[in-house]
Amino acid sequence: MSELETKGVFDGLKVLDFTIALAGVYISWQFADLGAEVWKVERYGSGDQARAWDPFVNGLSTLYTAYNKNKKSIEMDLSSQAGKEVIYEMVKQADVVLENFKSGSIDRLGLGYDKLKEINPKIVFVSLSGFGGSGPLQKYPCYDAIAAARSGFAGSNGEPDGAPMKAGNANCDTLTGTYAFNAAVMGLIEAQRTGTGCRIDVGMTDVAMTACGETVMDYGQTGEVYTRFGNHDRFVAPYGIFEARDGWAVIIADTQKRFEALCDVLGLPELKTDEQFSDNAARIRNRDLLAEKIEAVTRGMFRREIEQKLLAADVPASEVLPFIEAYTSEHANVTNVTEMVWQEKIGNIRFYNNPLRFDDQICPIRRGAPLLGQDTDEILKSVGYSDEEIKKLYDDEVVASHLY
Amino acid sequence: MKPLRSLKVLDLTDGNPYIGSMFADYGAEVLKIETPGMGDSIRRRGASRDGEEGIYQAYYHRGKKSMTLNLCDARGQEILKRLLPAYDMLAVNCSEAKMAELGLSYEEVKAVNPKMVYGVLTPFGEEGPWKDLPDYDLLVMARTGLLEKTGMPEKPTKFGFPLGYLYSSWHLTAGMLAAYLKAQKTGVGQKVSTSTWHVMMELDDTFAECLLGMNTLPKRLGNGFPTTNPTDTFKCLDGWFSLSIGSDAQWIAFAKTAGREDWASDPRYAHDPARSMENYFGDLDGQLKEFFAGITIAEADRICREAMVPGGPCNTVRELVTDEQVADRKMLIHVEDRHLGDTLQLGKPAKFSYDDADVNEIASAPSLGENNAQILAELGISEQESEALKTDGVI
Repeated sequence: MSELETKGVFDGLKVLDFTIALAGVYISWQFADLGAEVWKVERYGSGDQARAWDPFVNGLSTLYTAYNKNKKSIEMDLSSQAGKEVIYEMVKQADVVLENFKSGSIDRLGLGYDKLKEINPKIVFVSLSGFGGSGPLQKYPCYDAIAAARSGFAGSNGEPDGAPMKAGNANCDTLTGTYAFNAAVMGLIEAQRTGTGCRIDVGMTDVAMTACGETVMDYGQTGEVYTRFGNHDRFVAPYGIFEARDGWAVIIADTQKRFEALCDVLGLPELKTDEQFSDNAARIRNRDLLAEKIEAVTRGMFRREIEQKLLAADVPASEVLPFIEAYTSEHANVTNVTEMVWQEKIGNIRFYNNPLRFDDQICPIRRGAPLLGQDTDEILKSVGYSDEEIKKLYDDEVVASHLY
Repeated sequence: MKPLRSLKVLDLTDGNPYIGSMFADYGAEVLKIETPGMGDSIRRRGASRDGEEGIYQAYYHRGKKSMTLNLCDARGQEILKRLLPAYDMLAVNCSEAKMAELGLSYEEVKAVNPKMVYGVLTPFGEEGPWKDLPDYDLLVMARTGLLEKTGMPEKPTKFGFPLGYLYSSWHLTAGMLAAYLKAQKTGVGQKVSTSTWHVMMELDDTFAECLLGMNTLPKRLGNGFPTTNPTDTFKCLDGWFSLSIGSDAQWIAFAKTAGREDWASDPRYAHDPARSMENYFGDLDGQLKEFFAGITIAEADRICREAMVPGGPCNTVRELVTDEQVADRKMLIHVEDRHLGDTLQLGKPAKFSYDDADVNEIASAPSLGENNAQILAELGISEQESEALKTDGVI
């Protein structure tokens, strides 16, 4: 495979990527989209565990494919000394190292920050984990749902007397990836200024605690514990999710004028003069009753009809769209949410364009996701290995290119 | 040593503090530009009376500075332009077209300071049929699919915090930091933009199913997760507990430690597909519900730790304030606020190896316009001129 053209804000930047699954992979996904060369180091014989996650097309995991576009894959055995030597050569040229091994594993492998910074003092080394690199929970396993539980993220959502609710996707994973991506670039800024890199430690549970920003303030100021507020806002009413004939709609009447307009549109003029709803404070006190009265009407309306009638009256509203309707919308189409790209083993398929625009330009997708070890030779050559040395590494089963 | 200590940001956002906070928390100098009289709308969130400030802005604006400036007034625009050369970044949460009406389009800003990184966050992007829809986190989320997919099967669940704004703000800040890193080398800044809707779309893994053209898309599964089974949240004797089993081996370890050899040996549950979606609200889920209903959270936690399987209590602030892990990670810190005194706030999730003892010392949120005099003096505007500006409502 020829050298891929790299353009973008991270042009020239090299990322040595040991991450698997989702949260860590999300950081290298962002680096790759923005033009960095990402060397994804994959386990000899099997690769990233996400390669085994369904659904599959032609034997390739579509989840893996979606998370790993624009990256390059080198397949190797990290437990061998020769494998470690390859990593040491790669580190000389890398700017960033990303890892989410079980806590401390990378140090035991001889590839920890203390070792790698001797080789390249400018390296920015990012460790991502469920609970962070310290504390009593450090050694325990943590998935997205557990970070959501322990952090208070799930405890912030749902009915006050019902179950705490996590998000419909693995959002603690990707939220953490997004946060750690910021930290990684901060490390690069400092390294560029001073010539010295750093180690960055980010825990998923710590990032997910952001959900509790306001309830922590409440507790500190008043000693009161507030948790979940159901499908309506805590401070403004009506402001929430209401049932429609064919699904759900969001309605936000955050001023007196909008509340009155809402009453008119729904044919409930009597609410305007009802003392129970006379101002926002009253509406908050009688929020459940108000929601009942509104839903008695909205249940007979289509969600799109609710949206259109309320928007026309300057009341913020939206139908709650199932993903497929969002994905196939005219808005998605004209704003280039996706791009058709060639994917080995599958053919031309749609990938998301990165949501960031630089000077209003899309970050170009240079390739689909790599097959296992697809770039092993190219990466080895680029860090200085000769053809004979590469052949020996293959013969010794240190590196491979299984192309799964 | 804070990694962004050399960065200076002009923060023109309103109602979304997360962009400025990412920079301020890590040492950047962030100057908020606020509307005279009113200030940032987030100042009023949670206020008990009209015209007052709520407590939350002490957290949202910590470590920032504040200057009032009426950008609809030509003199306000002029003062902002005079500020531009001293700053590295400018952030807004409206379209560039709106900024152009104020004479502050990217081209105009770039003409004054070519190194400027110009960050733009919009709800739906700067083009397309939805670009003028109202900007509320909940309204954007309603159009992404995530809101529809979150919650129990009978109805979607609203998030108790603005998850969409968090994601998109942090995407934008990462893009702006990337552009700043480049500008340090090239001397040339860039416009960096994104939208909350586009960010949330990219995150939806339902997309993978769409690649297949599947006709049946994932449904709302409550606290379930399609690829790790069983994953669910159970009511114990004294509260809620989440379990997330990621492999057959974890399942067997859990069952044995829980004293349920019958689960471990039952061939129906031995492999993940049988524990998965079709059975999700079925037989096994029912048995698990019954099991957890008879034990305490502490007991459930002990079983998961002993079996080394992912599990944990559903905490709220009540538990977080005494949690040893939270304490070890310094995720709750004290910030001295000018008006409220000592406040309890969230700590900073990214730990850098060069963090010093003062890493969690964060300055109080500013009063509205607190830094007016200092900034105007730096620009060489006399006290007399300042008074006139004040009288005319420019500051």
